Amino acid sequence: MASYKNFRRPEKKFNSYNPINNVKEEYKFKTLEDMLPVWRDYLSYWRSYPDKFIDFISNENTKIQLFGYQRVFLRLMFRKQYVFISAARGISKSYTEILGFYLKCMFYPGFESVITAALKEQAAKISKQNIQKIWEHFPILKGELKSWSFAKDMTILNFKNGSSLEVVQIAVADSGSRSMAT
Amino acid sequence: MAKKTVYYQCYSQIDETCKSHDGKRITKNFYNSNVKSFAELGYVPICKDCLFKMMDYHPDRGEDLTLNQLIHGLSIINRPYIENIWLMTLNSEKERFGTYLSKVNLKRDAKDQGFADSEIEFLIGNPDSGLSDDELHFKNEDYTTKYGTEAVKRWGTKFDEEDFEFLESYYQKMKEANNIIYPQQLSLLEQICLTTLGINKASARLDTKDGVSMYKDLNANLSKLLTDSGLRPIDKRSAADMEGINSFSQISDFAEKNGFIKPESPEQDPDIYDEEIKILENFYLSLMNQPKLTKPIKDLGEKDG
Repeated sequence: MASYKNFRRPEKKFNSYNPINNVKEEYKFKTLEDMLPVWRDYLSYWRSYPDKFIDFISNENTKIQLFGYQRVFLRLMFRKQYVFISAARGISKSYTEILGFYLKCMFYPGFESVITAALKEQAAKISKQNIQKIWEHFPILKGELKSWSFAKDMTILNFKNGSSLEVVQIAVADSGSRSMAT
Repeated sequence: MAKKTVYYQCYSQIDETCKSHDGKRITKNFYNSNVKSFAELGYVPICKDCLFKMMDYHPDRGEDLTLNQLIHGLSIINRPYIENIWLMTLNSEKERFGTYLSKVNLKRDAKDQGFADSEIEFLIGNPDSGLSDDELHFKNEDYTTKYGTEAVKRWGTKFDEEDFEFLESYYQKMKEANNIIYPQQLSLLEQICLTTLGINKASARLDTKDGVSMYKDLNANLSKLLTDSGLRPIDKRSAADMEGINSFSQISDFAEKNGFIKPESPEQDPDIYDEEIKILENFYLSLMNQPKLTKPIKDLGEKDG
């Protein structure tokens, strides 16, 4: 026999006795300071597994998925001081390298990274193309920048946490703007 | 153009002259004050005539201010007793109480101090102070043992125990409920507590016209203070817009202020790519005739069997 009891849906009812509602209330007003230990755990994980961060910000509409060797490349960039890659043409060396630097600038505040090439124009062109591709594939990453500038012979990205990514030429003419390997 | 006359309200009205004006006196009849309890008004809410009557001090009759009268007056208007300034005032030919206060206001450290910050050690054993040693120590020590030195520094000893307890408990509750980190928020919180106490007291006088206007003024003031400090529940911000943080780089910057965040060790839960990295490292080490690292868990470099 039909009765009100049979049509009740306790999980739909939001009151102070409902645990589902309590969970919602708990997360409703969490400030960044409350969530700080969780963010520290996440950052610690992403500093060792940057490819997992790319998975984190990807969804079904994301145009690309990282290959295995790209994951290895990214992890090595974050874990080792010196990384040497020798690969064939068109295997997305520059893309992965710039993506790695981009992520490193995000996760390490005040990090200064430099991209070099034989000619400054060449380096600027490569970096511009790849950075625009990165923005196209992961639009959320564009929001990390405070300012950026693409010129004929210059590319500078300034991040909101004080990090920077720029292009330097390997030539005597560029000796004024030096950078140190760390 | 003629300067506009500003009137203040005297809340005491003991003196006959003050009473005849219903407590409305022009500004020169009041002492200025920067002490927290009167900071909102900017002056002591008791006119000079009433204050002198409370102190039993009559400068119009050519009387000189005694230490006893000074201490009593200072305890009423919540200003500190400073031995050096008092000794300097004794040499002055002007009216002593006003001279003493002007000298205290000129002293940078003492500008915002209350009676609780007085140099009590000079008064102990001094019969001219008119206060017994027990009286000087009792209130201060009593509050200190009960609420701690921080609380006494914050509120002074001018409040009675009920008000002091309300102020301190309300302060602690607000501090716990809101994430207060900035010093300007702390000073605003102190003013919020004092205004709330004033509202509670004014609500008991709502049957009078003065009580109603005071209640309205204090409520408006409280609302402004709460808005300025961002302590209204409606101002509680979510993680997304806390201090305008809306990117991972800002979060990393904010999180690392509490110390360097160490990258997680890949040894804890290695996946196939970690194994690959280990095999690569072992391969390059073997080229340089160096000992290998620990063997990967899943040996991907060798075939089974």
